[in-house]
Amino acid sequence: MKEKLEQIQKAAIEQIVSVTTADELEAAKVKYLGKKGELTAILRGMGALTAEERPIVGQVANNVREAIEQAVSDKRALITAAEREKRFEKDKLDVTLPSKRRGLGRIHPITKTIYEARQIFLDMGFTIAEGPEIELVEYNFDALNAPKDHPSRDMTDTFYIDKLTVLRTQTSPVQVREMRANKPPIRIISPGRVYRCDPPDATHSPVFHQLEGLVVDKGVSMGDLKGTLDMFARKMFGPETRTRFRPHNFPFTEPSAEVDVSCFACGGKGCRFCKGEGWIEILGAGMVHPNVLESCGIDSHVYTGFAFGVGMDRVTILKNNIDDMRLLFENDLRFLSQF
Amino acid sequence: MKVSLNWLRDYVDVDCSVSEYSKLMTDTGTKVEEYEQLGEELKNIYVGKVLSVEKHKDSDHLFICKVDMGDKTLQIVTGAQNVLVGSLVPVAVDGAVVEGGKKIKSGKLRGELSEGMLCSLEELGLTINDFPYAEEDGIFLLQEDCKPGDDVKKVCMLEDTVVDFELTFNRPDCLAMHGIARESAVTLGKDLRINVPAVDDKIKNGKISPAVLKIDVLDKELCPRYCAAIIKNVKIEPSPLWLRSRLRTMGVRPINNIVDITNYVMLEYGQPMHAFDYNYIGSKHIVVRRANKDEKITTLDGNIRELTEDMLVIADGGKPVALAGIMGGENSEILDTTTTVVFESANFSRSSVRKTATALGMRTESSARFEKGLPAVSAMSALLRAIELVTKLNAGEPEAGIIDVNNADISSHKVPFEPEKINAILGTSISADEMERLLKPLEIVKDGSDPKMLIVPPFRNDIERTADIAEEVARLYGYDKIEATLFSGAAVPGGLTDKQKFDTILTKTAATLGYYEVYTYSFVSPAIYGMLRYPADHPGRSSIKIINPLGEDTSIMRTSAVPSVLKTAAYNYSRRVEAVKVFEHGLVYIPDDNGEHKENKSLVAVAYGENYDFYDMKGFAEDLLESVGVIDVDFAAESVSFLQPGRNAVISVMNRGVSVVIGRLGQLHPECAQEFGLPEATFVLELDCEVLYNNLPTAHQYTPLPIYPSVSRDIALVFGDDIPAGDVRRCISESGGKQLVSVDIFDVYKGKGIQEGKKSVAYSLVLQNREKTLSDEEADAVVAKVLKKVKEKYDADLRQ
Repeated sequence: MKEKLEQIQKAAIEQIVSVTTADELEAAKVKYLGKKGELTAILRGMGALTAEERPIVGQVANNVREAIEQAVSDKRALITAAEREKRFEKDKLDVTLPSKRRGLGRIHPITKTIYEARQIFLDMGFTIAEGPEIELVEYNFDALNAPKDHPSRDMTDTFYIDKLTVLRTQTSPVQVREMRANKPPIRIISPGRVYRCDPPDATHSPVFHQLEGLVVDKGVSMGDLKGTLDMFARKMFGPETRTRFRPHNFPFTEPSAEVDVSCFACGGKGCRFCKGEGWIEILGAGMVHPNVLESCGIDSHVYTGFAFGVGMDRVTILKNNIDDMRLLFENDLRFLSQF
Repeated sequence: MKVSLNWLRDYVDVDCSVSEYSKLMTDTGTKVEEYEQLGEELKNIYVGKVLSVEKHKDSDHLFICKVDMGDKTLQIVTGAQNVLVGSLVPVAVDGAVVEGGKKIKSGKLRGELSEGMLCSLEELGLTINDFPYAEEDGIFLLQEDCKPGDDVKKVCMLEDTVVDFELTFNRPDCLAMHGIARESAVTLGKDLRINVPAVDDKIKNGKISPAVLKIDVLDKELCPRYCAAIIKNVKIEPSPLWLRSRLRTMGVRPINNIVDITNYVMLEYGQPMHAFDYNYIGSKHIVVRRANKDEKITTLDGNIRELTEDMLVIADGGKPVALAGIMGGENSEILDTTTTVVFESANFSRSSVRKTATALGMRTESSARFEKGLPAVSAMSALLRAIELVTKLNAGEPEAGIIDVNNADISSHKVPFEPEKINAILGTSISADEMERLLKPLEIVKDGSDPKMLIVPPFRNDIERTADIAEEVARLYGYDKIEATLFSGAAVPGGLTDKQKFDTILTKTAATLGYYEVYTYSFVSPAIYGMLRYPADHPGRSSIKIINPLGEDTSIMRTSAVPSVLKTAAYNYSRRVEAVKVFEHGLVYIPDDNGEHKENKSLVAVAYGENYDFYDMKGFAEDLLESVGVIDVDFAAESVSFLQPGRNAVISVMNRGVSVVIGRLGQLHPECAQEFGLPEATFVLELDCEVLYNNLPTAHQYTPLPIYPSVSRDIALVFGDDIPAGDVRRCISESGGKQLVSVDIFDVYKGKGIQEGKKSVAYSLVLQNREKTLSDEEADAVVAKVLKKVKEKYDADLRQ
């Protein structure tokens, strides 16, 4: 009987290996393992065996069943895999055909610049202060130590709403509002829209955007200003960026500086982009003028501070090599979609 | 300020390259915009002496000249008529380059060899003002001290370097050669050579009798100092070449010796001067006063100026002869016939000069300097320099005596010397001695009697306090040497406010949903009220006006961003962009009754193309609102002036039981579409972000997930076509009780099987009980309750 079982196993496995479809495999399985199958028939005949033989043959029979089942399962895996391969072939897609997209929009390039810049300062513990665009002359000029006859106050430079009110020409009035409302330590930036009477051309716009910064505390020095702007420049324009501080004059800072960053096109060697200078002017900065601190009720003998302003439109133009400022306000989608 | 490097070398040795010089000056705060090498273009032009002039055989207008070039003789063919044997002429030889980059080569002219070209003024880049003795249309016959073979660039002083400085408002002293020279000396570490004008003591100390000239300053505030001198026996003639050349380099046109002297002194000292013809000063009396009402003057530029009573004039016994500090009058102009001159060197109030110049629309070299504020001390030194130059040029005889009407404080002022504070401001540790050493060449020196004070020279009015001294120290020490540090101090909590986060989310979500952010001007045209079909009493018609706009179309602050964004869409439509989805998230400016105003954030979106419809815009609005946590939004059909009737909606949210309007949306009104140049199927959304922010739902709390399954029931209701499906939805929602968790509309049908004037709307209801599994009977009971209510309220029947 044992030999018989081994013969069945051999025949069954041979047949199973040779089948090619799931149906043939099923038929083979039924033939040997089904209710009327060959193995089942043998097992039915086990009753005729002696009590000693029964467990031995039973063991063999089980081994044979397992071997056949294993062969069926192995073969099934092979057949499934082969059939899947066929389906894959049939279902093959041309992945180069267009997708189904709703499509993303874009934030404006200036918003992008502002978000980038403000994040750098937020990470340094700054908060964002905001102030009105329709601003009092007092905040835009007087409290910022602008001489009464400073040309920037002219009607040819500044938009006036009435004698006491202008469209702010800089984000600096936010400094005054902040210092009058809060006691030091102060650490704010203020991105926003500013206005000057410049008819639009390739390099001018009557509407543009600045980012103001102000730090006031005990013991704040010009060295701190340099450190802060160095860090900003490196994060904004790349880790290799260097800064250059040049003496300048602003009514509301003393000492004042214009700040250049090493050209991000050539790294400072001098190229067409930086007009051979290796440097690009980007910022105005300085130590808050004692008159400004005093006009805001802050004791200039106790506190010092620094302030800076960056043109966001200018940074946007420079970083993206945009040759005409008007593009920023024309909003041609063919332009906007490039950012 | 343009500066001649040749002239500058009178005062300081500039022995580095001009590019190096520019960099060093920029580093110490006198920024160089650009520089130009004059005469660089001209090449190989030498003095030649004409040996012979013969007519060309084959031409009736050409001449053949033999020209002695010193080492050789050249044959040159010329068309000029004014060349004579013995003339000294500029010769552009073979390989020369003349003005405009034109190259000169040997060649044949009608068969005759011509080995170069004789030059006119024009070919040297000159005009008759530079060499008044020359003939304008002919060859430039040189009258300078020169010989054949000399380089014409040297002979005519055509070579110089002009450095253009960009000066800051606080440094009017640098609008002068002396100021630039001082900064150059300090920067380069060289000695400064500024001489005191050498004027005979007899002239300095003499007295001019009031009968000869009397000066009365009636307005001491507008004219703190007035100095004058008289020059007799004046011989008006061109200035010498060196002077003309320097003026030319600095961009000033040479006129005659007397006028050139006043200009030269202005450039050198920064002190504007004026010269009057003494014979035309009536009553020999100069009165500095405000103009009388209706007074007029014809200024040197030939224009008649109508004066007002706040303008300062220089008058004689009767009429004005000059506009103080701005321009002289024609009536006392220096002419070739002038024999006696009055030099004026005065100090005028900066604001008076500025106001007058602005009011008359005149800006001169003189007014530009006065406007920036000049020290009264330089009025006298400049006048002495002018007298010195008169003597040097032999232009006339200075009368003994100088008139000085001085009401100004011309003493030096003092500021405290606080080295510790300076170091604290800068973050440096510079010693007091080093600071002193840095400041000395600026003529800022320690007070001998009080070492805690510094004496500041009168030309540095900008220095008032320690912060100013700190800047002087810093710029000479070197900004680049200040070590970069990071401030310490108390920690400040940084980050965005809730409102700033809200704004950021809206902008970013709008972009993520496929819309392009645009930036437009905040000021618009008053015509937009009409373009938006605002009725006469629309609050949006009340806007803040700009007094001095760039133009009518940018003259009012917008009360709505809708027109700006529509224009942006139209701009793209006109450029054949087929589908547009844009938004602006910017400010609108709303005046209130108290003369104050609010600046409110608004989000306006406009879209057209690719089958975009009302529901796309509505979906965009809902997505946007959901991004800031607003889910329960109501859309009600209400009319909006710029939207098409029947396709417009007002958007509102509930806050504590009160409905608050937060915006509007719909299809653009066809009239507006036409007005803006947009397709009719253009859709607009306007969200009042400030109102939205102030009515946000309170912070969302987590609801535990349900344990028991929900039951769905779909019902189709038939009701009047006029009834908004949303109203019925709200009714279902309100009448369904706690167990009805959501109601959605999923189909609308009109037509066959449905009575005319009615529609069938399918609603999908989801029911759930949080405590137990809802039975079918319980669910049916809720549906029955709902059906009863909608029947009552809207006569809605279950569709059969």
